[in-house]
Amino acid sequence: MMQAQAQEQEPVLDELTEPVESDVESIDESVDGETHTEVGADGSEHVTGVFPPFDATTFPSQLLWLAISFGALYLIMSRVALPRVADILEARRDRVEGDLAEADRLRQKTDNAIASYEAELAQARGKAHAIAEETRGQIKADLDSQRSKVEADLAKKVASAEDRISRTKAEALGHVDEIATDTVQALVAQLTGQISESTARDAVEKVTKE
Amino acid sequence: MANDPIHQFVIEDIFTFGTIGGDGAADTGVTIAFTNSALFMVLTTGLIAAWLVLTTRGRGLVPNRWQLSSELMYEFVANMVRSNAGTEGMKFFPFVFSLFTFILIGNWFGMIPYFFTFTSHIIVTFALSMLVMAVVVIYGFVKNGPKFLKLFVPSGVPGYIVPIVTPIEVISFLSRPVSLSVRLFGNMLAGHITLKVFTGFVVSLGSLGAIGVAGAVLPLFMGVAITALELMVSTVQAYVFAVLTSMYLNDAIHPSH
Amino acid sequence: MANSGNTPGEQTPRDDHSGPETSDLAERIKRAQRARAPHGDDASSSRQGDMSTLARGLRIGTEFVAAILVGSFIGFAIDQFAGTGPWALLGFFFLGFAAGILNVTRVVAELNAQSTASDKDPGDKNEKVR
Repeated sequence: MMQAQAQEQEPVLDELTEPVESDVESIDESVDGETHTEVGADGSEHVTGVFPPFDATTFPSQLLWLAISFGALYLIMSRVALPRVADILEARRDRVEGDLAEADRLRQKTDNAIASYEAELAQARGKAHAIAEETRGQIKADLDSQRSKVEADLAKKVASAEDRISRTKAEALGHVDEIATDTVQALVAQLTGQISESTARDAVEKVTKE
Repeated sequence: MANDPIHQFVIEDIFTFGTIGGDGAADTGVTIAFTNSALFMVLTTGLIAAWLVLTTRGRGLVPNRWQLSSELMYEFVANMVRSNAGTEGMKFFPFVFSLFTFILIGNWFGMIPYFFTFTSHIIVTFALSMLVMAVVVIYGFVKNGPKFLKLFVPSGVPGYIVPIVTPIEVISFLSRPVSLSVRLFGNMLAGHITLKVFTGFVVSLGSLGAIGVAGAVLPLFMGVAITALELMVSTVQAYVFAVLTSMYLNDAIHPSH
Repeated sequence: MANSGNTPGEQTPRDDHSGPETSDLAERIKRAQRARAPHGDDASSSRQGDMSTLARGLRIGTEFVAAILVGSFIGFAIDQFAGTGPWALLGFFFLGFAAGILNVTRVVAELNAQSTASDKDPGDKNEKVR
């Protein structure tokens, strides 16, 4: 499309440059001799004596090649190169935005995981605490019962031992009287003669009662 | 001849296709030839096409250095068109992109010694600016119909001033292709002549022996400085051309002031 | 986790999905999405702003001269065709002069508009200038 427009202008430009062209020709004629030697030397130069950028004889070729090269450039840019760059940029934008969204999604997931982990941890702690309390109570009760049992046992044993002791003591004490009576009887018999057993016992009882 | 600052602008035929018109005599009619100017136009097109097509061949998600250069150029021009002609102007993006790169690479080619600068020829710049104007006018009428003529009638102006203001607006409009083409042409022509004159000084002074070499140092530095300046001017002029094209296209899209 | 293993009651698991572990990541994702939303237009337009100002400034001279040239050329052409002597040339020279001044005013107005409202919508800006 651009190429077509560029070519549309060429008639306009040609009209504009026509007066210049006639000027150029007149100058060309005036410096004819000089020009021919130079052209002969190089063969293809447009040495017309005019300032080269205003040399109208070169205009058609320049316009033609400008139209061709710029038209080709426009076609290549608009059909191939720029859509491709646009695709690349678009793909990158999509990718980066997608990645950011994905990162945000994963971050939320991580947050949720952390939250549920902490909830479970707290629950487990609570449970562990309860179990500990319960175990402690149980052990204490167990311990108490066993202790009371042992204590009762001990008390019984102590009581029986005391009983036995007192009995043994009483027995022993009984034996003491008997021995004393025998001793007294023997002693008195030795000293005085005969003594009845009952008298000795009464005497001993009298002494021991004092 | 080597020091003639004008010689660099001379068109040379590389080969000819014969003449159109004329009466058969030697110097009549229009000679159609493939010239050095045409050679560099074709080279410019080839370079741009190769650059953009080959560097984006990989379609890398993460661009390499070359692909990045194409993408940066794309986005640079796209932003320029979007900020000057709006989103609707983006349909002319390939056109503006082609213009910008064509002029830019053509100007840069001209910086290389012995290379021809086709943008230093008025006919080329004028044809390009007339192409822009043709696109503006045709699209303006196709899209807006007769309303496109509102471009020449400023809104909010009392009726009796319109006959005075409208010719001024018309001349202002017609001056656009002239200023557009003359600016590019003039800058490239003047820059290259200056550059050639200064580098010519260096060569001719340098051939004068020791004193000449010493004296050539200053023009040499000037030559380097002017080369840098010319490089900047080449870039800015291509940019100006493209920006103005975008702005004129904006007029075609929104003709009412 | 080892962060707050004091007592089980103090553990506060909640689902406001910006827990301390990922709030930094969330902030970075939001920032990246916000930066991409106007797809990088701001930075490049301000970078282009400088060059654009320079480009517009360089126009003033040629715009003025070109308008005078075009005006004079039209006048000259009318004189040639109609044979009206120098009058059309004279008249159109002044019209061209006026058009040149108009061109220059527009460039200056654009420069002003650009320096004041550089981040405005471009379409608006151009219409305001005209």
